[in-house]
Amino acid sequence: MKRIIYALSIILISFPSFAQQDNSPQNLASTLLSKSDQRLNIGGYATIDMTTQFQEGKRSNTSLDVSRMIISMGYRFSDKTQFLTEVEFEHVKEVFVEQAFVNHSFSDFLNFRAGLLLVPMGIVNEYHEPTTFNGVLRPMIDNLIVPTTWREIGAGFTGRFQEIGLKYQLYLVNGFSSYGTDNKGTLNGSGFLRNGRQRGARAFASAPNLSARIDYYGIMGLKVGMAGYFGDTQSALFNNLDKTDEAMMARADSTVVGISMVGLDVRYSLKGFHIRGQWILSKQSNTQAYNSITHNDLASTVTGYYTEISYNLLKTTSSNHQLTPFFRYEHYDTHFSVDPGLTRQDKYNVNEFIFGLGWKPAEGAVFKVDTRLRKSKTDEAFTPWLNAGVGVWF
Amino acid sequence: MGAPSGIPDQPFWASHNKQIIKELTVWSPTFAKAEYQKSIGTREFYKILDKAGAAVGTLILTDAQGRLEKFDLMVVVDPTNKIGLIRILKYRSEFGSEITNKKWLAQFYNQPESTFVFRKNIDAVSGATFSSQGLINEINALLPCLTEIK
Repeated sequence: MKRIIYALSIILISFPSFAQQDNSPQNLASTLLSKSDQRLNIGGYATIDMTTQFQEGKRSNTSLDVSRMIISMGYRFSDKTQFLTEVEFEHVKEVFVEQAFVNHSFSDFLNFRAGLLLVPMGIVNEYHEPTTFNGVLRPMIDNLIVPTTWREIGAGFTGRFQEIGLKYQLYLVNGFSSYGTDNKGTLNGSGFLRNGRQRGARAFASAPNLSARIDYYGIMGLKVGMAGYFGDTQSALFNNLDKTDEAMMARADSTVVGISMVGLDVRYSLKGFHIRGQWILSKQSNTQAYNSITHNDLASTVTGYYTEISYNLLKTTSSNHQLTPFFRYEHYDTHFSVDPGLTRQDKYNVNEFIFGLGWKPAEGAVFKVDTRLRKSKTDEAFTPWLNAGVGVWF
Repeated sequence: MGAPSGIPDQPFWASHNKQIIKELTVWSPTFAKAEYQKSIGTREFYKILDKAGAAVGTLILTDAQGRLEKFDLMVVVDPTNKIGLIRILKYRSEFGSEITNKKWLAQFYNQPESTFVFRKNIDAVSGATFSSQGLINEINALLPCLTEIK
């Protein structure tokens, strides 16, 4: 030990050095180690929304909803090992766990984590807190194509390269349930994958799925993300299946869909302006067999994109508030291409225009109001919605 | 266990020595050593000396609050107390690592202001709202301390 200390002293004397003197006080390490009360950190977010749909010649009631109330907790076991979770109340009465995983950091470049993980696809699935996106409701593409909040049980690696501004995530996760124990197919044209999410609740698995994402943030104000998701869906028919029963094996196989989803998203901020865009493409295989056995109308290609611009009107004033009008255009088609046995439905080919205003009297709290105009290819006119809401994040 | 030569039992900053020295050498090619001066709270102040023994600035080792977790950083100021360098030495949290972006950190450098305001003279960064504010708060709090250590 003495020899090591002696050697270290020599090194410190011989080279440009950074050394504390003998009279130095306790350094931050000891301070941090003694901060036992800071092992547990608590945060949260919430959204309370009001939405009204206007239909020609009809009256509509307004919907009022505490749509989400989330408590997030982080517990640090050591400087390298931590547990993170988000417990969620949806619509006041439904309880979910949004995330729950243990992360162990070997270095900045390499972390291992396992548990209930967010699938890193698109912008909003990972950053779904209400102060991080414009508009009362999340973009439709982040609801219909990327089924936010999309999370499944899995494990994998993540890390970042600070020098170049690069972050990666690579996970094996459980896939969607395409065929449940109730003998019903869950995937279709109107909801796409949404009803197939297992969310870690008594989930079953027959094949793992791969999820990967790279984020580049090495240029000031810019963040670019590329994501991929590949694998087969899970089917309840594989449970207790006799391997020699070829007919039943074939039946089980036809309830499985192969999913290959890729996504590209960009965020750019400059002098009060914020621009973001996202494009998602998902290809499904085996849809003909799947649709034939389930009588569903799942497409073989689904795609969508949105682009949005916003500007903080108070950027150049002395006010610390933010008053941010925004405009977003979304286009999505959950029947972009279908197998030969299915008729392509134009009602799934939709354009949306959303414009509104967000007022943040303080960072972390927002009041929102917006108008959403939706028109599918079969509609003659746009259907308007008026939305208002509050959101907090801390 | 004793800790001679100022090498602590829990060599927290010591584990970053290499990076700190490297950053200081890039910042000032004539950098020779950093001499401990004073601690104020959890902030540690070091005098930066060049090879001729002249003071060329101050190094501050400190931490700042992110959304759920603290992160550790080094700040270098020149003799006129303008910021010359900020580096995040240890970022623990899952969220907000985007503030380690060197170009974003460069917004603080050589500014005449002694107070930084989020979204005013410091632009936001996607994915790191809390950490950006935590860093700004820490910088705003440590700059006035420099007058105490002369």
